[in-house]
Amino acid sequence: MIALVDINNFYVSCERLFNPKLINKPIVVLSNNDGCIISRSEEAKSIGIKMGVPLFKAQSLINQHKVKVLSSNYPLYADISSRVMRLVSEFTDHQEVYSIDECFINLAGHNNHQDIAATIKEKLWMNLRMPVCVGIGPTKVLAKFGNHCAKKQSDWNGICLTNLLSDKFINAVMNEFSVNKVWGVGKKLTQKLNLMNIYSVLDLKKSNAIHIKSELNINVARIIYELNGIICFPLEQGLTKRKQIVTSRSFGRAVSNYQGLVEAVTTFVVKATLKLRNQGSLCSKVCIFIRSSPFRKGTHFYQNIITIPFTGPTSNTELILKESLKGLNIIYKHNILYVKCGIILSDLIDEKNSQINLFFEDTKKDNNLIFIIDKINNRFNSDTLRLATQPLSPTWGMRQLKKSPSYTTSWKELLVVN
Amino acid sequence: MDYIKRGGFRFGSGRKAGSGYFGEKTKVIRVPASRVFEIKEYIKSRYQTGSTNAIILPHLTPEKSYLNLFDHRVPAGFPSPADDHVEKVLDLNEYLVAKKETTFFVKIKGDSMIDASIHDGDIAIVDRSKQAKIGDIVLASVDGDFTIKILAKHLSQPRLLPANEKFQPIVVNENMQFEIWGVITGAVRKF
Repeated sequence: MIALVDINNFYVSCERLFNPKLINKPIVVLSNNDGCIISRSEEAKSIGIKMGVPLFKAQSLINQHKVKVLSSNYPLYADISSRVMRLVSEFTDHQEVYSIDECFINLAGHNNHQDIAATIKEKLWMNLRMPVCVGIGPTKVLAKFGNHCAKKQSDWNGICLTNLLSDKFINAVMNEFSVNKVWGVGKKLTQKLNLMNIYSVLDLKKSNAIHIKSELNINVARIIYELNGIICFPLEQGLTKRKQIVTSRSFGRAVSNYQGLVEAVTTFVVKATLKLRNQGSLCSKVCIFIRSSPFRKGTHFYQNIITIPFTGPTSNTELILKESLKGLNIIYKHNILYVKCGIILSDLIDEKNSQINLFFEDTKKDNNLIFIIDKINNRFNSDTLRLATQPLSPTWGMRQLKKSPSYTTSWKELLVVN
Repeated sequence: MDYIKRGGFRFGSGRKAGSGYFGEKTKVIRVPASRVFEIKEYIKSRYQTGSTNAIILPHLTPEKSYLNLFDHRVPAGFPSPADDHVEKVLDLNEYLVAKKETTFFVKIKGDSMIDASIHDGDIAIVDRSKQAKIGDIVLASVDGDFTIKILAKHLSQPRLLPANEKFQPIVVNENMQFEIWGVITGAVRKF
C-alpha cells in the first residue's frame, strides 16, 4: 500500500506555527513579488477567496473581512518542509518527496494502515503543528484520490483508506468528483476527456485503457490502470536530478538600464550554477530571456530570448556568466522598461559521465576557484564572496512587504520571547 | 581533675553526622575565585529545575566540520602515533539537541526567568516533541503572545510561574487561548 501525506494549507500553517495570533483567522500568503494568492487558511477559503487570484482582485473581500495578508517566506517553508519529510520518513523504508508539502510513502511492513495514518497525523500535529491529510491506496493515483476525499470529507478526520471502502461506495464517491480531480489530469486533458463523454472520476476509471491509449496517449491509459489498482507509477528512487535549472524573477521595480539587467543576470547565474554544482551536473547551454510588461499602457511590449551553446559541458560560474552577458548584450534594447528577466541552464548531464572535449580548454583550475568560493559561502554567509557585478541589495529586488522573519534559518531573526 | 582536657574534640559534642542540610557528610572543594558566582548559579539551577536543564560553562567545544579525522600524510617512515586514537570531535548540537526535526531556537528577552538561569539575550532550546510536565520550563502562547515560564497547575487550571519574585504568575482560564508550544531543554549564551 502507498500513502500520500499532504500538509493542509502549508504556507499558512507555517506562518501560524510562529504567530499564534493568526490561528482561527482568515489569512492568505502571496506569491513572489506579492502578486497572487497562493495559500489560504480555511477561514479565507470559506469567505470566497479563490486560489491563484491576483491580490488586487481579492482586495475588497480582504478589506471587508480583515484578512491578514503575508508575503511568502520561502526559507521558513523550506525548513519546515524538510522537518516534516524527515519525521514522515521514520515510518517507511521508501519515501518519495513529491513537492514541498506532500510525499508518498510505502506502507509495506505496517499491518494496521488506519493506525499508522493516525499516528503520522498526530505526530506532525504535536511536533510541528502541521495539519495533514493522509490518503491510502494500492497505487499513487488512488492514494492521491484518497487524500482528496480525506480533505473534503470532514468526518473522516483527514484520513481515507481507499482500499477499505467497498467497491460500491468508492464508485459512488468517484461518480461525484469531476475528472480533473484525478492526479495528472489537467485543464486541457479534462476538455479532451469531456469530448469523449468522460466527466467524472468513475467515468475515467471505467474507460477502456487500450482505446484511450490510441485516442490520447499512454499516460492517460496508465492513470486508468492506476485508478483500477494496477501500479504503473512506482515510487521514485531517491532524488531525481533536475533536467534543467530555471532562475528568474519579476522585478519589484521595472529596470530600464543595461547595468541593472547585468546585475540581475549575474545574480541568477550565480544562483543557478550553485544549484547545478550541488546536484553534480554540468550544462551545455544557457538561455537568457527578458521582457517588458504587456499590460503597461502606452509602452511598446518587447520580449526576447537567446540560447547560447558552450563548447563543452561545464558548471563554471565565470564561464557561464561570460556567455550569458554576451547573450544579454545581443537581445538588450534601449528605452524599454523590463519587468522580468531570467536564465535557463539546459542539456544537463551528470558530472561523472561527462566526456572530455578534445578541443575544449581544460577549466579544472578555474573550477577549483569556484569550489573554494562555494565552500566559503556555505560556511559563512551565502554572499560572503561575490562576483563584482553581483549587487548586494539590488534595486530591482523582490517586493515582500509583509514577510515574516526567517525564524529557523537566521540567528538574527529568531523568535523573541519574554 | 585531669579528665577535663583543654580544647580539642570531646566525644558526643557538636551536630550529629548527617543531620545537616544535605543529610550526609559534606566536603569542601576548591574552585577558582573568579568563577564562584557562576558555579553557584549553575548549582542553584540544577537544584531548582532538576537535572534536565543544560547550562553551558564556557570553553567547551570546537565545531565538527573543521577538523579532518585522518589528516596525517605518511610519505615514508613513522606514522603518526595519534592516528589510531582519533575519535570524533565534540559537537554542541549533539549535546544540546535531542531531536533536530522538532527542536527550535528562540531568543530570551527580559529577566522573568533569571532564577532558573535563563537570562536576557540567551538562546533557549525548545523541543516540541517532549510532553510538558508540571515543573517543566515551557514556551507557551497565551492569547497570541509567547512566553517562557515554569508550568504549574492550580485547581486543575494551568498556571505559568516566573522564576523571579518581581514578576507575577500568569493565571490561565478557559476564556484564554492557551497552547504549550514546546519544552525548554536548555539555554546557551556567549560571553
